[in-house]
Amino acid sequence: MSSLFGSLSISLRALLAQQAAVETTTDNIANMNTPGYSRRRVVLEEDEPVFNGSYTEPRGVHLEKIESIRDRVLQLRILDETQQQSASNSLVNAMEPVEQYFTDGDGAIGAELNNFFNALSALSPDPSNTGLRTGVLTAAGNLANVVQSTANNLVDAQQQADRSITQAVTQVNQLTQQIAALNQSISAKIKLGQDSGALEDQRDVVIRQLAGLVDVSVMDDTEGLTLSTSNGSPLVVGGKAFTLDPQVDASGKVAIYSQGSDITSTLKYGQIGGLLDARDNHIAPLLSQLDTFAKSFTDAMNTAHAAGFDSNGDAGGDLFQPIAVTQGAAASMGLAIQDPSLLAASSDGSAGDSRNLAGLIALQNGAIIDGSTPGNYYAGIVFQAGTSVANAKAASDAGDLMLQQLDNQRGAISGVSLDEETANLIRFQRAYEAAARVVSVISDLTEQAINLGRN
Amino acid sequence: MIRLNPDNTGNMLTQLTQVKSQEDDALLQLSSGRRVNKPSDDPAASATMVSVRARSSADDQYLQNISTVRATLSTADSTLNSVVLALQHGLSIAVEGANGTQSPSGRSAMADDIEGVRDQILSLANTSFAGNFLFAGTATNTKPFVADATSPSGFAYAGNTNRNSVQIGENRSLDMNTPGDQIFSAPGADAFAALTNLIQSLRSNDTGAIETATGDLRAALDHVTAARVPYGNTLAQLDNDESFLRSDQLQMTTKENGLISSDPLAAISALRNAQFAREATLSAFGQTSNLSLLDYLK
Repeated sequence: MSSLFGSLSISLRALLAQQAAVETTTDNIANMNTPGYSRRRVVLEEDEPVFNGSYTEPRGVHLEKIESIRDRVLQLRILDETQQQSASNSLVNAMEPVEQYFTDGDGAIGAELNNFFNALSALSPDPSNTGLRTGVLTAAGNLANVVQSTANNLVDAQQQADRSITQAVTQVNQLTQQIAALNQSISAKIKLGQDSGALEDQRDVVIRQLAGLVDVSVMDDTEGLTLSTSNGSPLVVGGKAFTLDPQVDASGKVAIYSQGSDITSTLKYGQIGGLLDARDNHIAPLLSQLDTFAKSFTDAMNTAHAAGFDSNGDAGGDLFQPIAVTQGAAASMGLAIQDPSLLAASSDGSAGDSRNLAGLIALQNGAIIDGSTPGNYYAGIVFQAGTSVANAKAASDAGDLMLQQLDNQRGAISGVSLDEETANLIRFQRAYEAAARVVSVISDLTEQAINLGRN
Repeated sequence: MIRLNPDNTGNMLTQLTQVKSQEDDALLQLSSGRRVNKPSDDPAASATMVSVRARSSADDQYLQNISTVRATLSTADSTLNSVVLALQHGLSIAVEGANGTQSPSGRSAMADDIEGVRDQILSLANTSFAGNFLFAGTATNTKPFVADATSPSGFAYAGNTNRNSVQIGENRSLDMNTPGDQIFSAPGADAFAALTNLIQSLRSNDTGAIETATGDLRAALDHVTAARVPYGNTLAQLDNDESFLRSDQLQMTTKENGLISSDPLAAISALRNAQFAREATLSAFGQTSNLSLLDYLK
């Protein structure tokens, strides 16, 4: 049997439900510019009617839940892309200063190499000229210096990368702590059956920051999210964070340890992955090629130089400081003689002979460095430095567009549209007004019922 | 209906960043005149530039070497020309001295003249250029011809018999010198011996010996004349080498322009396009971003 108070109760519940809907809409509008915010939606549900014999008594509406609109799979793709994008960006940032050392121009290795061979060539028509002899030693010294300073600059760039890696690891450890704490709060809320949308939004933001720093793969389980690096080293398991530990290894480089084991070589993405890539796969090969250049060039020059005779008629010694091992050769390249009379230009011991210079000059076109001429070997280094940056830039540009695309998709699903929220606001406002009107109608009706039989 | 991303600022910013970087590139190309300013702009062109620069700078050096070589060889050539003239003068005296009508006192005066010729040739054979003796082989700091009483000709060669060769092109080198003994005291054509014998035979009034010495002197003259020819040929060849190097330099410059120079017209039009695109994006953003349903309510 229906009653006026039954209708009043339906209206009151409707008021509460529409009020919650208005509140949710307001919340959406308030957070439309909050990073990581996923729009909320009220889920209203018809109350289960009461069956009274043949009569079904309606009970109105109730607020079932407020849900966040998010696409977990898209979220994971964004994380993947963020890691790659961040790796390309930090590779570009680390390599752009490095390629400058190989830009052609005065004072670069290419120019000093030419100057050295030209100084030898200039001496050959007038081999007893002290000024020209000094010119050869100056040019040789300049070449040795620029090779040395380029090598030092490359080592500096690696150390710079190491400092940034150490900083990034500190940030990773702070972020994983935050995520672990959020995991705990979220699972507590879920156990209480409360909405954890706000906390999940926060966690998404922090995880995205983390993905900008290091490889992250995400697994969802009942205890909250589990985050690990790509080789499975744990970062966060439920409410517990696992720290990464940067340690300086025997070669003086920073290695990253997780749970006591070295995981450096498995880190490919994020800022840390990009910096490691720059340090180990781009700068290190340049450095080792520069070492090969310095070692082979010094050896060949010294051999050719020793075949001749100096101004005093004595057999030639070393022109460049002899280098024992290839590793670190470039940083130790230097001139062996300071006295121009010790330059062995002559092949017969007489002052007017420059045929030994011809032997030195011939090395310009000799396959003396790993099967290449010095110029071509150096050109290979230039090509490699250029390609490193060019490829990383292309990857970074493509990643920018891809990430923007994914952000658009995320926005399409989770972003707050002001038009939509305004329309909803009007809708919920009207429903609230109508429900309130019903309450006043029922109030009138009950008044009439109370006054029945008074007159 | 597919829901669109309500927030388009991200798109705008990405586009603006792209257009801005195109604009910067075009500006840099215009201001530097170069399309390739660092290796990553075009790694292959940058690598090729290493060898182009090496070659054009070597060309510069070879051209300088050619001018040094030319100065040295010209000095040697004109010195030998003076030697030839002196020997011709000596030969005309000798022919006159062999004439049967000459008196002993006349021959003695001729012997004095020939001594003068011999001194002149000695000084020419010891010519130095920029501190280097031209006819001492590679022993350029040793005076090549010195008086030596033990030698039949009265002079000894103190230089060596080596030739120095100088590179004046990637695959081209040439001899800088002919050792002095091969010019002035070659067997059968020894100028000093012929002159010394001539002086002695004129003083001793020995017609037969004068005639023998005259023959020797003629042989020495022919020999020096012949020895001068390679110097002249090399000098002529240097002109060819120089013009080859200059055209090679031009080629290298052309290649460099093709590899790294920017095309000003293309750069200007790229700059205009980028500027236009940026203005268009900005104005579109400015006009659309503020509209929403709220503007049409009450």
